[in-house]
Amino acid sequence: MPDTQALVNDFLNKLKKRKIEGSQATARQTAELLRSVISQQRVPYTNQAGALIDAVKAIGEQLIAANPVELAVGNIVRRVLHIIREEDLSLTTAAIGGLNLSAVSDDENDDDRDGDSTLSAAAVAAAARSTLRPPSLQTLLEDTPVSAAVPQTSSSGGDSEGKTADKSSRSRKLKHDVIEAVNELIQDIVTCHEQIAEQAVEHIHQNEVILTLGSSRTVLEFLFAAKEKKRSFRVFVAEGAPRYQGHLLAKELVARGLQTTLITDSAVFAMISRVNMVIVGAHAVMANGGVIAPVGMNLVALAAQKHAVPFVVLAGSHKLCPLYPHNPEVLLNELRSPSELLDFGEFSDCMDFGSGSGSPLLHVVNPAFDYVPPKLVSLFITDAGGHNPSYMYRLIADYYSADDLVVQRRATAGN
Amino acid sequence: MQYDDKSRVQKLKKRSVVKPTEARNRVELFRHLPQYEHGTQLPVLQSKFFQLDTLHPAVYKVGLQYLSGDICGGNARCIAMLQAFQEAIRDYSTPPAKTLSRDLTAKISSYVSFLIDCRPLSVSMGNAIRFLKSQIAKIPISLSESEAKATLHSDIERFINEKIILADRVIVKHAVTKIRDGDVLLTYGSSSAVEMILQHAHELGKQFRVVIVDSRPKHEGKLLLRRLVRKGLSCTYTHINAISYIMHEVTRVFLGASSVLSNGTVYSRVGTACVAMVAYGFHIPVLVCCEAYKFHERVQLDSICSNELGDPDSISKVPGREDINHLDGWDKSENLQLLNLIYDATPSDYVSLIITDYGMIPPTSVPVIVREYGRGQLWI
Repeated sequence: MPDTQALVNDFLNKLKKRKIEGSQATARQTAELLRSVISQQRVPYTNQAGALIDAVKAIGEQLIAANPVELAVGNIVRRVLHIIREEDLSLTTAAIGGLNLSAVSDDENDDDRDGDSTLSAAAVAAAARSTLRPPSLQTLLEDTPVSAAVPQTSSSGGDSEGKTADKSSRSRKLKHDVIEAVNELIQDIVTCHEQIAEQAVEHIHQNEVILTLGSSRTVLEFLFAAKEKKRSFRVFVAEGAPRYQGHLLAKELVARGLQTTLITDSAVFAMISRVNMVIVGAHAVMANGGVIAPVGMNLVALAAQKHAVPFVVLAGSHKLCPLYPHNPEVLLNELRSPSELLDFGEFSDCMDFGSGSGSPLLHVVNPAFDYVPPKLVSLFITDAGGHNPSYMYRLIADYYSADDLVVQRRATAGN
Repeated sequence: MQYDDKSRVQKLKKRSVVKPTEARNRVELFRHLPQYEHGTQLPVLQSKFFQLDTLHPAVYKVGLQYLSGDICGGNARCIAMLQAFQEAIRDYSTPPAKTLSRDLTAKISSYVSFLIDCRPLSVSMGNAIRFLKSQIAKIPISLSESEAKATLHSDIERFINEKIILADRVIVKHAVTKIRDGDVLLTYGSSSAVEMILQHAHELGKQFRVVIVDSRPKHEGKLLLRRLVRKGLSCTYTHINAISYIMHEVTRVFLGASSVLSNGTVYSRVGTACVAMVAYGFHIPVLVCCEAYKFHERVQLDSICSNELGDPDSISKVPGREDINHLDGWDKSENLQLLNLIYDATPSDYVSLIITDYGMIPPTSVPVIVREYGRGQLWI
């Protein structure tokens, strides 16, 4: 336990100080941290899923608070919570399935093996009631907690022995399954570039002209994959001031033999009339299909719309966030240091607070992110294929549970 | 502009004084525009100063100032050029057996081609040269040389005064009526007309804030920022990528122009089109301030058919950020080109109003002004 706490604190520190670059790295490290938390978490015999969920929620709350703008952290926390619920659900279903089978062969090998299934029948049925069946209108109206039914049906002492054996094996199985699923999640995060890049050939034809802004590893792999398949095309890269990551991207593209032209961000409108397609990466994709992207992307999207150029966003599934963006320019944005725009030494004489009201005359604004509304995006290419912005909300149902949207430990008496 | 035509380029090279070297990695789309290696011409020209007798020293000096970027901006360049021509005309004497008008016109043409070699002409300069040549052609034969020179001198003086200085005052007078208390005004880069408007409005006591949007590589907004803060205006400074963020607070956008073309397109510093587009998307009025002598009967649809290409090295390096050096040695790789556009064309739909010395007009009235007040009646 102290082991995990140290890991958690270390990770929290890194998040707060913005030491981790990029949503993929953040997502992977969050998943690995949660995996170690789960594997070291001791689970009780009853309602082990609930205990795991509580533990993850407790840590997740701290992680999200450390860097609220890095949405990948919250996404992974919610993914893991969804995994726990799903694995619990599938175990319950399997147990019920086993129960039905053993009811048929009940007269045969009773005591030993059936200790598992028949004894836990009542408990399994009760658990099934809570997980399998959606809350009925009756339940919702009466507001009775369904899981309260579980302890009442537990019966004799002989049962309890088999029950504990069953429960411990079930709990081990649950943790095992959850950790396997989290490993798969980490694998998905790490290989999302390849899966997106596989779709490159479907979208890029010969003699195409592509525009991109800043630098994104997904876009890089995408363009390389198209180049591997012998498509010849040119790329215009906009610098992406004030971080100038476009310079990096241009250098890498040139190293791979692609015709690249570097332009300033102010020239985007001038050049976009000669561009066939705009391909960009994203920082996060919101539930309505809107995109949180590096600053300057809204400019490119508006220019692309004016010239009827398709605006394609590449995003791994760990970037899909189940939240709806309310006032994203302010709430999901970070203001960076003004020294990237103005040299403090050069402008020190303008920083004089000498005017009557005492308020500074000079104010420098340097936002890090931009919000692109869904109507400007033509297509999302994720590792699960290509989608319309209006479809993104459906993917959320695959990856997240509705109970996890607000990651807060409920202060109610647990089971 | 036909720099993709080899025979024309050869002819130009023979006549030129500057002898620029062609840049190596040229962007294909812009083959029809000249692109030369910067940085090599200035020292060569400076060394040749005492050897050139065909060129008047004042014109030579102005050419060097253009080349090094000391004089920048449509009005400043035009005034500097006209004043240099005034001096050249004052020192001019007609050679025997030649008429003043023809010989002087030829001399002015040679000066102009030198200036073009230093830096391509702006539309304001082109219009001023056309005016000067027409005035030279109109000189009656009966006039003596000194009288002719005096007439020309006063004509140039009147042009500068009426078309530029007084025009700016009229524009400022019109524009300050559009500024109300509590406004947040956005401007892009550094335009002389817009700066005068803001300073005058501040002197009149209006309460407003200014947002200055700047971009690479020239960072002209920094100079404007310094001058405005010194005068006591409260300013916000940001870069062009952040305009979507800042546009929520803005109430009006004031832009300058290098020229306004006859289809209403505003031809000005690259990035203006982006600012106008975002302002239009947020339903914010865009006011372009441009003197009428900068209007032109040319039409243009995009920013590629006619433009100016600047020094690509100023893009590969970021002043003050030595860590951004990924593109050192960029000219060695044949796959990489750097594009430094100087101008762009803003479509007329994005412009709400053009403020000129003839009044406040919509973009559709520009060809009317060019036709009615352009050629014939220059003094009205």
